[in-house]
Order: sequence, then structure tokens, then C-alpha cells
Amino acid sequence: MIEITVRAVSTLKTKFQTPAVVPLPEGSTVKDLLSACEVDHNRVIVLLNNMQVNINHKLNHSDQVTILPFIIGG
Amino acid sequence: MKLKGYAGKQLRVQLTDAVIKEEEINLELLKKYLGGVGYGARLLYDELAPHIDALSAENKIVFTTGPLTGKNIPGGGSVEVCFKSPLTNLWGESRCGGNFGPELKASGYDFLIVEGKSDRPVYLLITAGGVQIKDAGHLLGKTVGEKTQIIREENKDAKLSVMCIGPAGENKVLFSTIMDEDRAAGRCGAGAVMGSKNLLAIAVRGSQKIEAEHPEKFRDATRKAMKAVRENPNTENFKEHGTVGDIASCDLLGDWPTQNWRSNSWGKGEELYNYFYEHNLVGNFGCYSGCPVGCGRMVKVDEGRFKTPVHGGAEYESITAFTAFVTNDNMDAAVHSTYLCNEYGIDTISMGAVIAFAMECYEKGLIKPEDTGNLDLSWGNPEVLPLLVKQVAEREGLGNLLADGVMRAADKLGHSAKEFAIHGKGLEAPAHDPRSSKALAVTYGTANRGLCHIHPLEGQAYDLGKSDFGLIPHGLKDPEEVDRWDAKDKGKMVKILQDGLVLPDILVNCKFMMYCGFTIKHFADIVSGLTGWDITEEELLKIGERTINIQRLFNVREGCSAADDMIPERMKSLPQFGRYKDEARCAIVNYADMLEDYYLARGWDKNGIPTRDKLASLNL
Repeated sequence: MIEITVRAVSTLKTKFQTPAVVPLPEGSTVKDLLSACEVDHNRVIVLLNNMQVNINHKLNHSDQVTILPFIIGG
Repeated sequence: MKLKGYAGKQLRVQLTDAVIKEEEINLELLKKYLGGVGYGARLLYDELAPHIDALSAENKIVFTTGPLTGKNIPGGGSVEVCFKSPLTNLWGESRCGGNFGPELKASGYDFLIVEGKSDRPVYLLITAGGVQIKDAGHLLGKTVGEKTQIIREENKDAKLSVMCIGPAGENKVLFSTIMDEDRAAGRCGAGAVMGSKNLLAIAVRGSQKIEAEHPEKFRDATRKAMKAVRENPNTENFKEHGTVGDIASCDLLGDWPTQNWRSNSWGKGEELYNYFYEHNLVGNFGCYSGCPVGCGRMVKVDEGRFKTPVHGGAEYESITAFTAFVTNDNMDAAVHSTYLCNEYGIDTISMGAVIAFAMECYEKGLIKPEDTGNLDLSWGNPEVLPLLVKQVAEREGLGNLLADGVMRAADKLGHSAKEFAIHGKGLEAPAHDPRSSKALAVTYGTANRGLCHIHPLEGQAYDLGKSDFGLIPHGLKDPEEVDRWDAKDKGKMVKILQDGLVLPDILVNCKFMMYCGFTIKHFADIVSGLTGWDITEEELLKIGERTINIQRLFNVREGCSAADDMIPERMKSLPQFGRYKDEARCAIVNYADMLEDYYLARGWDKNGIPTRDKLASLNL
């Protein structure tokens, strides 16, 4: 298992308590993490250790992930 | 045979001699441009002489609708205003949400052309009873809310759709707006053009139905488009957070211009949005009847010196202009100031930008305390924000200098002021930062109306937001495979994005529908059902390309060339502070290469002039 620290930004915080440590099987991706947090991957942007990554990015133990609500436009 | 999908007529009002004329629409021209900013650009290219003074009687202002304007079409609550801009002296256009567009079309007119200049303040009334030019002396000096209310009361019709200017338009502030209640035709100074004609308002109420050539096909296409919007994740985001919900994300992503563009992040976006959500937000609303998204925010400030009634406002751009641009962390002051901008009829983006510029001048000693009437223009001072809005609207004190925009103010101040007057073609820069996505740099530089927030946004949405708008079959590279920091092929991609994303402004439909699931195919199916013209996606994209080229020709005739497509040096430089300070990929070092790539894709020469071959291929 790997453990990922997740921080949700802004009103996404109302969806789940953060920062949270989420345990996941080895080889899990950002998409798996979002599923575990019950967040729709189509509605967010994910930063891994402060840099933007796509949902297929593979996670490592102790990665720090930030989930942002993203509104395209405006 | 009656033209379907359109009202079929245009109204021409010549104010100098008070002549009102109803005209048939040239069908050949309509098929080439469809409506909106396409038809408007062709009309102004043909009817305006080059180099006229934008605030003279020679300028014209055209209120345009299109086939996708209407209450029964998602996104149909739109109107596009076209004119020569007094701020840029180039092509000017400004879209406004609300019911005015559908009402104009329902009153029997696809286009309203206003020309000349009245010798006294007037307003136009367009109803089933006819078209009247009415005295407006009693409206002088009134705010937008007051003008709207008086016009409705004196005509005993609470449902009249009213577009009007505020005091700023009357005083010809070069970035004044035309307002439809809380919504704005905001950029490029349309309000000043109306003010220069002594035209204070236009009120309209229509009752005609627009028929479709193939009603079943039209209904089916509209249903499919509506389903796509309802199922798109961005729709729910817009509804829940509005555009202002983006500030926390943009700050974290390096897409939040801060302190007059010294940085692309501030670190306070999340804290500010949380405050807004808890204290200022009342609810959401749609700016026209039947909107499936409802991105508008009803907001307020309950108490204190920035107390503000419940109103529609607080958009992403407006709030960023009064927070990050000027490093003000008092959200109540930002909400209050944007409310004042709406009531005085001022573009919130340019207003925030001129304050940021003034604050940097103050810091550098180019504007001294005695120039400000002893206002303290230190960075982040919330107290001066509403005061400066009023001064600009009334052209009082320092406001008179700032009311002409940063380009002219920098010219007058001299010294180093030009280095930090952040504009493109004379239009103040909006609230996304190309240091976060290279495609945005190209869309910013090449937008025909200058450094605006509407047309260039597709660059950011593609590179950073990974939106493809259904354009992959038309040559767009899959954004998921594109690195936002990389410059390669961005010029080429921008050409495709622009040809597609100008379509809502041609069809006169809310652009956010494309951000919420509308594709070019939806447009083609709806237009075909409405008009019976069986238009294809490729033909629509060609009309998009033709429109961008005719607008470019308008600008070239005014003297515009590649030099005007440059973006400010500061916008390309590494941020001076913030989380991206040491991120070398933020710097835009190959802008000229991207621009060359873009010109090549456009079929323009190295100076940015459309070639004869290109124009011939577009039947121009």
C-alpha cells in the first residue's frame, strides 16, 4: 500500500475533510485517488507536488496531491 | 419567400436628422457572414471611412443578433455590439448577455445600426407601436439602475429590455460600457461611442416568433445540444461557483495576474474565495430567460463602509481586477467597487487595470500625493478603489487622466510609465496569464479587438483546461497530449481554435455554451434546421475564418500590423514573486516564433497582413 496526502481547495473542501491521508494499492493513479475520494475527475485539476498532472499519472508513496475545482472559462 | 431563422430586416437610425429606416437584409452577405460580429464587421468595413474619429458622428454602432439568438435556444440570450473602438482606434466589439438580443430580434430586426449624432440627449424606443426617438434630458447623470427604472416606468412596461450607458458613457470615458441591467457590453468603450452620439439608452420589446425552416430538425438539434450542456461537468461547476470560483485555481496554476502583472500568482486566491462564498454570495442566476447554466452570481455586502445591495455581479475578471491586479485582499471592497462600475457604466477589467497602473506610478513617484487629492494609492489600499471608480466616471481629478486608459495615461506621464502600462492594441489586459499557458500568449497578441478576455480565452482553456471544443476532427491536436509550457505548434493550434471559437459571436450565442458542451456540430445542425441551408461544420469554420480576416482587414486599414500583435514584455517575463518565481518554463522566450507559426497557418505575410491568395480563398 501507498499513502497519499490529499488537500482539497476552496469549496471542494465541503465534499470531504482535508488534508487527508488516503491509502491506495501500489501502482495506483490519480484517477484511482479521485475515485477513492469520490471526486468526479472531469471537474477538477490535480497538482502533484505543486505541478499539474493528468489523471493517468502513477502515484508514489507520500506524494502530496492538491485537488482544485476548475471552471474553464471566465 | 420569408427568410427563416432570422427576423429578416435591419433597422437604421440616423440621429443627426432623426431618420428611421427599415431595410431588407442582403441575403448574399448574410450567407457569407451569418450575423453577429461577422455581419457587423463586413458592414462597418464597407460603411466606415478609414481613420475616422471613433467619437465623431462618422462612427456607427451596430447591435447585432444571429441565427442562434432567441429565448428558445440555449445560450440565445445574447447581443453583439460592433463599432470602431475609441480606446484602440481599431475594430471594436462587445457581447452582452441578457434579454435585449432576443427582444430586438422578436421586434422584427436582426440588426440595429445607429449613426450620426443627436443634438440633444435621446433614447430609442422599439416596440410593437413602432420606433421612436425620445427625449432623454431627464436621464442625464443617472446611474444604470435609475435610467432603466425610469424608462420602464414612463413607458408603463416593466418588461422592456433596456440597454443604457451610465455617467461614464456620458462623460466619454474611453472604457465605458453599455449595460443591460447587471450585464455589460463591457470592453473597448462602446459606452463612449453611444455617449458621443447623445444616445443614452435603447429600450425594446418584441412579440414576433422566429420560425424554423425545418421545425422538427431544429427541435431535435436543440434537444441534443441542451443534453450535451446538461451532462457537461463544467455546467455544474459554473452553476455552483460562477466564474469567480476560478480564482483559487488560477492563483495556484500561475494564471492569476497579480500586482500589475509583476507576478502570475499571489497565494491569496483560496482565502479570498472562501470569504466570498461565506459572506458575499447570495445565489446564482441566469442572465436571460431559459439559461441552462445560470453562471451569474447574486452578491452583497451586508454591512460596513463597503455595504452593497444584492445585485448581479462579481465575475472572475471583475473580482480579479479589484483584488489580485491591485493586491487588495478586502473582498467587500472588491464587490462594492465592481457594483459601482456597473452602476456608473465602466468596464471593470480596464478600471482595475488603470488603478493597478496608477498604484505603480504612485510607488515610482510618477503620480504624487498632490496629483491624487491626497489619496493614498499604496498597493492594496481598499479605501481608494470605490473613490477612483467615481472619479473616473465623472472625469474628476486623477480620474480624468485614468479615464483614457493606460496607453494614453502612460504617454502623458512619460518616463518609464510605458514599461508597465499593460495593454495590447490599447486595450487593458484581462485576468488570465499567458505565463501559465503558451497558447494564451498567441490568442492574446492576435485578438482583433486587443488584449481581451473573451476571444483569447480559448488558448487558456485548451492549454491549461484541456478543452478541445470538438475541434480535433478539424486538425486540433488533442490537448491531453499537449504540454502547456511548450511553444511548439501553438500558433497553428490557435488558428484552429480561433476559427471555431469565434462562432458563438457570429451566431450570437453565449460562448459559455461551448465551454459547457456545445460543439461545431451542434451549431451546424441547429443553423441548418433553422434556415434550411444545410450548412456543414467545415462551412461554419470557413465563416469563422472569413470573419477573423475581415476584422483583421478593418485593423490593417487603420494601420495595424505585426508590431501591434506583440504582448507586453512584463507579461513574458519571469514572475518577480510568488510560487512561480523560479519556474523558468513560465517565461515566454519564443513569442516571435509562435507568431510566425500563426501567420503561416493563417495565410498572412510576415507583417501579419492577409495575402491576396488567402483573401481570394475566402471570397473576400
